[in-house]
Amino acid sequence: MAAFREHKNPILNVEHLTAAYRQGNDSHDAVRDVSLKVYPGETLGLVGESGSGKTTLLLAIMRYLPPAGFLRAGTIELDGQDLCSLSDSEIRQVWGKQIALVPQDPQSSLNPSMRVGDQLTEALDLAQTSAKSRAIELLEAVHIKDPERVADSYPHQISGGMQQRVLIAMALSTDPALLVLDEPTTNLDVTTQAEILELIREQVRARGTTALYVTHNLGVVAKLCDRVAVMYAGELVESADTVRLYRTPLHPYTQGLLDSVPIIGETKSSVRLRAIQGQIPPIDEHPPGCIFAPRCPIAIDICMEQPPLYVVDSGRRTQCHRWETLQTGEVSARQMSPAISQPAQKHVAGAPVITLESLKVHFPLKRSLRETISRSPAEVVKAVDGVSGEVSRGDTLGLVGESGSGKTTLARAVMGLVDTTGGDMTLISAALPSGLPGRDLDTLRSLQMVFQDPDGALNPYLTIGESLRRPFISLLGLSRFQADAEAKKLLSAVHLPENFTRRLPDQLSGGEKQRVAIARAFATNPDLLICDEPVSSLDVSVQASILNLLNQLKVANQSGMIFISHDLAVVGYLADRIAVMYSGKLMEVGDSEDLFEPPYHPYTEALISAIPQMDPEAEQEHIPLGETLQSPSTTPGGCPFHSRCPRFLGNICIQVTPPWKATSTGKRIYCHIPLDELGYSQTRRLDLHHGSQDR
Amino acid sequence: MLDDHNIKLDKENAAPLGGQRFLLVLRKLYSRPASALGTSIFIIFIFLAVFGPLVTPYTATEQISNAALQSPSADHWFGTDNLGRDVFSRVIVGAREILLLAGLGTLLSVIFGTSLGLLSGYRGGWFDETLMRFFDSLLALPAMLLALLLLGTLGPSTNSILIVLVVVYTPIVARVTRSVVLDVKNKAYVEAARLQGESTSRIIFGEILPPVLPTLAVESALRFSYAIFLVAALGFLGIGVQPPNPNWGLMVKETRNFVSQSPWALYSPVIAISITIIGVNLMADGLKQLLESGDR
Repeated sequence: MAAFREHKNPILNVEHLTAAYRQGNDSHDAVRDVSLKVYPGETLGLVGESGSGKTTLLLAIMRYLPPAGFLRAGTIELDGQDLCSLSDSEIRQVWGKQIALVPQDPQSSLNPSMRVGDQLTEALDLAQTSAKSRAIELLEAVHIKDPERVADSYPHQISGGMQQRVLIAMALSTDPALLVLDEPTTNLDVTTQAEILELIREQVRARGTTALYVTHNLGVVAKLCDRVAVMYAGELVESADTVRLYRTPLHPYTQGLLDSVPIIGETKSSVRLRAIQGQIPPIDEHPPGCIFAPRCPIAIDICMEQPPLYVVDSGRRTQCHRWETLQTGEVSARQMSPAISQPAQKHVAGAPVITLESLKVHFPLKRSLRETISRSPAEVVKAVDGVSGEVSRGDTLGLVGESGSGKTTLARAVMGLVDTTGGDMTLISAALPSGLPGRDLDTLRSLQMVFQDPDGALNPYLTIGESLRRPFISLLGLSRFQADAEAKKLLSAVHLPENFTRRLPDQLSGGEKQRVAIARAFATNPDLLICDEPVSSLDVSVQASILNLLNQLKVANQSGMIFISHDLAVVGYLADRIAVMYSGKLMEVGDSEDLFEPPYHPYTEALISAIPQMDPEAEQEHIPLGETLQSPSTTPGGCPFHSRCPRFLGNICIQVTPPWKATSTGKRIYCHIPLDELGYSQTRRLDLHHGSQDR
Repeated sequence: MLDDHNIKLDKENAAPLGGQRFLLVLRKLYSRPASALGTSIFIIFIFLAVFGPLVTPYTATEQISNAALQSPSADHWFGTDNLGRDVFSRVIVGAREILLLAGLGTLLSVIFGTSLGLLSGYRGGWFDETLMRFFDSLLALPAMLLALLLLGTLGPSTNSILIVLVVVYTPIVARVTRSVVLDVKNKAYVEAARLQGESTSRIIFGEILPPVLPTLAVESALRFSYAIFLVAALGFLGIGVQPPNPNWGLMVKETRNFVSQSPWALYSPVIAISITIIGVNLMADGLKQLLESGDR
């Protein structure tokens, strides 16, 4: 990488850029004094949490800031051309041709009323016939299997992953000097994400494209980027080449980020997940001195002065006064930051809290008028199709799967928010009726839920106190006064100040809202708590503290917990047992320590291989799964996974329902392939490709 | 896209409550010229309606026999009408008449409309279906036609006009409320309330109503301005309130034949109607912008 630098001029050269937003008569700097260079042929990763200013920086570089935003200082040069001096009409000539963008949300970035092929070539100014063949060429280049059909489709007719492929093809079609990727895989499933990342890596390498990759996902950066720039609160705090940054981060914030993400295979009994204390300062507050000092575990007196951007060597910059001590290992933010959770004892599971017996939830599809009149049976979507299992007191069951696999429906069926079609549920020792109306208050008390989106989980028009008092009043029959005292106790249990009771949800950050939602769920001491992706919308530094909090409260309350996530690493960290779900059925159930040990179900294998690892040096083989999850209404007989299975055996998988097989460690797998055979081939693959995963 | 541009409210302050929140809304309304103007007009007319009749120089029906169709003067600021009544006094007293009638009508339709909209949106199913189709059939008729039909059956009186306002505006308020309810009722916080065993009425009024209120405030202000318009129009057609009531619409009807001799007797109520409606509309617009900017 150093080779690029010595001989070539940078493609993108940003110097001392400050971008601000007007707000009334004031303006607030969202990006402060950022300098960065991207050299020909390299991929620079721009990493930061929400509020770090990465999006603003990106927009500023593209000269695409919203009307309230403006550049206060600095220069931007693209390929020797000064972008700041261009007029609005001139910058339009740069967009698409010299800077191409792959946006975050493919669905809203494609024109829904235009065929894919026409959109692809719109910018290219070609004659009708040559446009068509060019479109097909472009689609072939991004490995779309039947490009003719896709070119003739409208965007809503193709899957999200396919839409993102089209956008990548579109961005590359003009051979831009700089390719900007703005979180292009954030909204995609982990399996689709792996495929898109593979595609981006291959295209960028093959074409020698220069790319700027903006993301919050450190695994993605490790996989794709040559160099990384880390942003915090509008400042660029550290930049280095990827390998060195991951090995020896020279800024405590980078260290904190790397430590707050669980790595596949880590469990809560083996590793302490560390959270960064506090939160990112709002745009209108700029504490004096080092911007990170208020949250920094190793801050000392000198940190009250603004640190310069120290040049470590030719490729490394860090904005930390103490980088030398960090480099020698004299101090480390890793030892200094308080570990929030103690490594748990290997727990012994208690009596089952909930038992499911071949639970089914089917949704009828809408029938046409003709079908209704002819009384043909309604087609159904089998969202949950015969799931059995149990969760014990003090136990956490992790439930993983792609979107559409039925995890959320299963959770909602247990909670009573959807009616079941068949099967039995038992809560502790009594039968649990399907649907809320049949449940008494004590049943409601013992089942609680934490929702995915903290913004939606709290009524924005009620104060935190009002929201927290309700469960005490309605479920436990306390008076308003008693409930108020309990609500305050709850807040301190989730490490929030008591005066939060008077605030509205608007005045809280996402992590704080989720803490309140968790507090509310634990208010009535539930026997079973279901968490539906409680951290997927949160930043990584906040995610860790929420995971630790959930675990701590679960242990204190001795509740059972079902933790739903699409993130195998998070589930592996928090859960005691893990169930992998596909198309309404469980594929594999086992202890979390064993999940990442072969043999595993071919679907689990593919899921694990799809997770971008946090280690830039790891050679990771990705097992492609092909088309995304098919609609469960057309699930064929036999194994539901057979059409995508990379270890597909033949007719037996299509026609015969697979048996449950148990491994020596007690893991149960739903597959035809003999376990020793499965284990043998999977172990070999691991030996060949597994890189080191040490921290 | 703009997640970085996350401007926080003043984090140290507790949530504003009750009267504090009302003052906050008022201050926000006064931060834009257009809505400040509208709000001022609205407040002035309310003030006139409450205290005006105490200060008018004449009563609304008092006839000064030798002073018909006079031009504005120190004695009669807006002149006199064809029967020798003081136009200024009549306009002021008329403000009370019309604002009271339109306000009461709006209030009743907002109460009925909100209750039905909440219930219909939350319950769904056949109840929702039946009620909405019935409301659709009412909405299919032009408001004026519906009013004429009703007044023809009920006979002209103040009570009849109230009934007309309720029948005409309840379906509209109900539909607006229902559309917000449909959005809100699937939010996680409503599900959380159900999981906490809250009663249906507690969910409807405690969880769903508060998010509906801002939209409802805008809708009520708009309905109010239409109600003023409708009451005046019915007065003008002669089927609303009956003489000698100083209804602005009625005043226009009575004086329009004498427009060449005393235009001010005609124009004064016309201008009063326009200003009130423009003022209320500007205020509704300001409320709407307030709502859309996310502040409450």
